[in-house]
Amino acid sequence: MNPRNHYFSLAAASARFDAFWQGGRLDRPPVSLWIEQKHSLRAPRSNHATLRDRWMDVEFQVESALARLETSVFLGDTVPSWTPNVGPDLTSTLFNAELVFGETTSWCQHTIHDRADWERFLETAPNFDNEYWRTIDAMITLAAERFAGRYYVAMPDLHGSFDMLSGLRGPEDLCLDLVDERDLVFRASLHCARAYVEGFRRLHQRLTALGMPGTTWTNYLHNGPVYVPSCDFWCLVSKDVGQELIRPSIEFEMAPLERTIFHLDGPNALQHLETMLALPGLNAVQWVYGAGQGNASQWLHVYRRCREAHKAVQILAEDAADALHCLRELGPDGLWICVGKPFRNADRAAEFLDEVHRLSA
Amino acid sequence: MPLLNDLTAAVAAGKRTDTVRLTQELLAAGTGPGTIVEQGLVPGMAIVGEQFKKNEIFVPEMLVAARAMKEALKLLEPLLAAAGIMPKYTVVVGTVQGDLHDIGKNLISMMWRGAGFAVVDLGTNVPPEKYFSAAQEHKAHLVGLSALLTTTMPAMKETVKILKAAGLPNTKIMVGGAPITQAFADDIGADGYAADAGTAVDVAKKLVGEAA
Repeated sequence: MNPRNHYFSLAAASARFDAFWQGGRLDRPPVSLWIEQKHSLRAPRSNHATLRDRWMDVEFQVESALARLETSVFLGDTVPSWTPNVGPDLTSTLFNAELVFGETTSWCQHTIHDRADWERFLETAPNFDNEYWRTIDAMITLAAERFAGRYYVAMPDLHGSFDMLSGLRGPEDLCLDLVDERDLVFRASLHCARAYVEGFRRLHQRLTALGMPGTTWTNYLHNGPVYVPSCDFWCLVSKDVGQELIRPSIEFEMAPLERTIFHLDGPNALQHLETMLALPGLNAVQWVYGAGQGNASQWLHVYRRCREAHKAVQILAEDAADALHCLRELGPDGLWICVGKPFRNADRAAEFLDEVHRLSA
Repeated sequence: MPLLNDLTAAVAAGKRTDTVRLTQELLAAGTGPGTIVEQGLVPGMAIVGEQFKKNEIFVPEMLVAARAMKEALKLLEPLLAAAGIMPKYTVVVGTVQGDLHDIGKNLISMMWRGAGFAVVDLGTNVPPEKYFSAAQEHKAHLVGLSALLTTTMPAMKETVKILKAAGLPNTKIMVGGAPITQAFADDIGADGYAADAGTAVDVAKKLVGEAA
């Protein structure tokens, strides 16, 4: 048990993720874990007049990230990275939505209020020169400079077509439009999907040019176009609507990607499990059972179903014991283990990594 | 009465035009507005609630049913008010402080309205004192707290604590939302918990002493 044996290595972690994406394993599954963090003395203090000022302050955000990264220890396959972020509705801003900032997240103001707005929206080209995308771009530039090769800049959080529409229209009105204006909503979803793909392409090109490996908020690795397709909106709709109306835009968004891990969020989304597993080219599944829904060990049936469909799975374990239980039950192939509860110190984390290694032999 | 049965079916199917037409026909035939609500609209929304609980229908279908009911109520509410017919129970509802999500809260409000409750909707990001003053002002039988974010669950706990400490002896507190569980509801001292909008009506009825 020696933490030094487990310090993050891009080459070793990339090789483990390569095996994971293909449903196998190398010496052990990739492991992402965190260690209780020391308070960073040099973390900048916010003197911003508004939350918006704080979120959009590129210098402040990058310096805060750097302070966190510098006081963290990265063991196993935990990618030392930071994700530039203005909230989950970044893709909706491509169609001129304004963001409203809260303490920990942001929301977008709805812009589609009636049929005329829908028609205008379908004629609108995505605007990659809006202030939010410019801010993200500035964050990427500054972070790459300040991180100076020690840390990586990750792909921002990009929500797909129906979540974009939900932001632009509001989830309730979008639900009603699914009944009243089914064809129009379908056309709009493909319009969004095209914007999403273009947004991804631009950011991927930008990050690749800066020498960044493919990673994002969920901390995977792949040397090529890789992302997390998702649709939070589909937990509101039936299996049929998911299959007929939502699946085509997800497929469109996945087409340019070499590797994909689907973010399936919450028990209400499980009705779409089979639709998701049938997505062409899908490599892996991130099943987020959510707070109040037990731990990963209680969802082994979902992981098993994914594995039966030849998909790798990311285990979002509550703690080390939960992770090891899942590993014993599922076996190490096509598994990526993430431990939610931070380890008390690097020695404990190293012990855990040794145990994962032993169980994977 | 066949027309009332047809109205129930129209509401359950979310047929807005039929719902309005049948309501007008019932009124023209001399059916009282209270009877139309009690024997036409409320059973329609009860069917919707049951289907939702069983995953036979989903949020869009529930919303179109609620929209149909709302159209009928536009015709009926002035007549109910003129006849002095008021809902028996009042619910104050809102999404807790720090949380701007409203779809869950709106669905539950629709179901409560559909079950004949008067609903005072405080919106999203509601501080505890606003729940308290609204409950006092409207003599609420129930206060409903909704949260979608795990990060706002502490705000729900705090709101329950404040409402309990404030002493509203005739007001029950009910909680719900994606991350909320019965165990959490019990832990924070809420009187009731509903896992979904369909169940919310049953729980509310039990809490106010009506048979669910």
